[in-house]
Amino acid sequence: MRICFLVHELGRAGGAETIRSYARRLEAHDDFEVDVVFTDPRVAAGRPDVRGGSGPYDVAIATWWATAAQLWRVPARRRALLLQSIESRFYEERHFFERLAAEEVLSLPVTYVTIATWMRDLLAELRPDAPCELVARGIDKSVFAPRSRRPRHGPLRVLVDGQPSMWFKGVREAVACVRAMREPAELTVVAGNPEDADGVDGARVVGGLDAPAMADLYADHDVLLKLSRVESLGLGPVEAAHVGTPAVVTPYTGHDEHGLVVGFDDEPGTVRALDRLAHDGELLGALSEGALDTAREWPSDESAGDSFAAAVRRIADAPAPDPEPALADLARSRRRWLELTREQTRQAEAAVSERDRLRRALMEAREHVEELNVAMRGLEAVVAQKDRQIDDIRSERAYRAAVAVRRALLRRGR
Amino acid sequence: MSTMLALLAEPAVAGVAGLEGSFPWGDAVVSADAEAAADAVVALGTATADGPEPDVRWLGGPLGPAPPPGRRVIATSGEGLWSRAAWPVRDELFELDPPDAGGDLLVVTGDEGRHGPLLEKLRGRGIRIAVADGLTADGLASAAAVAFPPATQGDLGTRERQEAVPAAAFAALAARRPLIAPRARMTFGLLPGVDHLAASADDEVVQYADALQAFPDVFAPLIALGRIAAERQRASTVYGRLVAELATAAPRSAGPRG
Repeated sequence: MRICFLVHELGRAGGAETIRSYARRLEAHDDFEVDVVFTDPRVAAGRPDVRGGSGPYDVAIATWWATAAQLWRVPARRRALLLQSIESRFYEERHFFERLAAEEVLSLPVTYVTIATWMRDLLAELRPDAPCELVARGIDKSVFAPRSRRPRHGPLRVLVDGQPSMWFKGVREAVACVRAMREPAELTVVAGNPEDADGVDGARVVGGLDAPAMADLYADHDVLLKLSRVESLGLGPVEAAHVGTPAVVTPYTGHDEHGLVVGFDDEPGTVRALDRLAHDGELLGALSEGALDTAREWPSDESAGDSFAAAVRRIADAPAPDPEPALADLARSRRRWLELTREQTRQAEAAVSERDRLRRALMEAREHVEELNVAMRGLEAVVAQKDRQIDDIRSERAYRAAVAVRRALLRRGR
Repeated sequence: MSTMLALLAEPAVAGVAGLEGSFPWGDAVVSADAEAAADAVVALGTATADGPEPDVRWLGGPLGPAPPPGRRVIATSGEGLWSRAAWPVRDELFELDPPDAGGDLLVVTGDEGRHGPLLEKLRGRGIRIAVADGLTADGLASAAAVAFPPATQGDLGTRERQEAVPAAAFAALAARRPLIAPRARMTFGLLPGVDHLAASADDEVVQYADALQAFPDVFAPLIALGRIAAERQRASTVYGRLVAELATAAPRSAGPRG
């Protein structure tokens, strides 16, 4: 069976690792032949891209909203979308058009493969017609394995997980919470790209680590802190739980309770949770045991790979999804975008109008200032003329004589 | 070991943020009086009763004057808080019937004078509205959508933000009512434009309200993601965590409640 994954890039993000992992696992099966095809020839750098005329494929799998539009550029019997998150959430409100485009993939006539139950349930609600497979992300249990933990002495060792430059990872907030603790703590930030770690001044930042090094890093810390606002499942706490390191997390979508849950924007509550762990070794130990218990239920890399292969076979064998309901959903999406874009456009026009008003006011103010400057220069000329007249008077003999007489009279009067 | 949580609350507040029943972590009751048998007492809003100081006071908005030292106060913003959070959502609100598409937009404002011009604009645009000074379960049940207008009138295009979203905002989302809320610095995890609509100015509220009433069926993703966001504020989950933490905390003082 010929499969292709359409990718935009394959960086260090967890999502890219999921794609690599599934591709490796499929290739391990004798009946699969797998291509990774780049949708952007500029990124491909000599590797296969969508212009290459490869295929035909039994199943073409898009892996990111920007790659979904390319699904019909490769010849394939069936088309699917690996939905690792509701990707519109990655964009801030001002990145309106990316948001709309990312939302559009929920209206396609494809089979969806999700990695978390909450996304499967969401799709079932929004697109009850759309076929959907659920394949949980696996963990390499030979690497992320339980470690013996020594009783802790000294500061609480806190590992903050996330790329500081990504707004939704909450890394700066997490660093602020660690720094606000009453109990002593040691802070490490682990980021995919540690060179781009502004806003965490003074913190030890590590990154670019392979899986065994990540497992060591989790084991070297007492607790993982992850205050993300957007995740599909949050791989870091899952990996850490396998090692026996509990996590303090916000209740992002897909979170599991491998430790303590704290509220979004709740710095005092988060600081309190960390301080509890710092002074309550019994609680920390219980949470570590609990993390290991929940981790046992998590699928291994192998089982996730097998599940993914089975899902791809089902997609290949099933009829292609009916495009009619997808088109109906797309029509509703278009109306939603139109109404919301209308407001965005109105705001942009209002902002431009306000800018123009301020610009006019500035020009008027400048004209007034210029008029005042002219008037001031006129007054300065008058004052200078009067000064010269006074100097002329003072230089006259009659004036000097009058001054001398006045002084003499004053002296005599004493 | 089962725990008894007593929630001290006015009926209207309890209908939105209260909790009653038995749960894996223990039992919860709503009471207007002191519950001597309770292991933990949480006062919602400004509710008071005779007896010891509640373990926690959970305000329905920003903190006013700073609390006395040692008091555990939760509010949406303020200095010296024990926690910063919106209200939990009463479990029953997740089970409310879907909204009637022909229903009103419920505008929740404690200051009709300040929001008078907005109400006029909404009516002038032909938008069906009901106005309430607080969000209640009954108000929610009869509403098709809910709007908390911005507290101050921002300039269009500036994306002005107020400090925090209203404490009761999650209740609307739990009940699958589309929500228009003030654009805020602290959203407690809400994502503007994804799970609710954020507004800084009256005209923004009017435009969104108009779209919601004209095309109610096209906002399904917003409603579904709003419901997912509300799930983390489910009262039985939030109070369960609170009770677990209080069980390891120092006992409440013997001072008067209030």
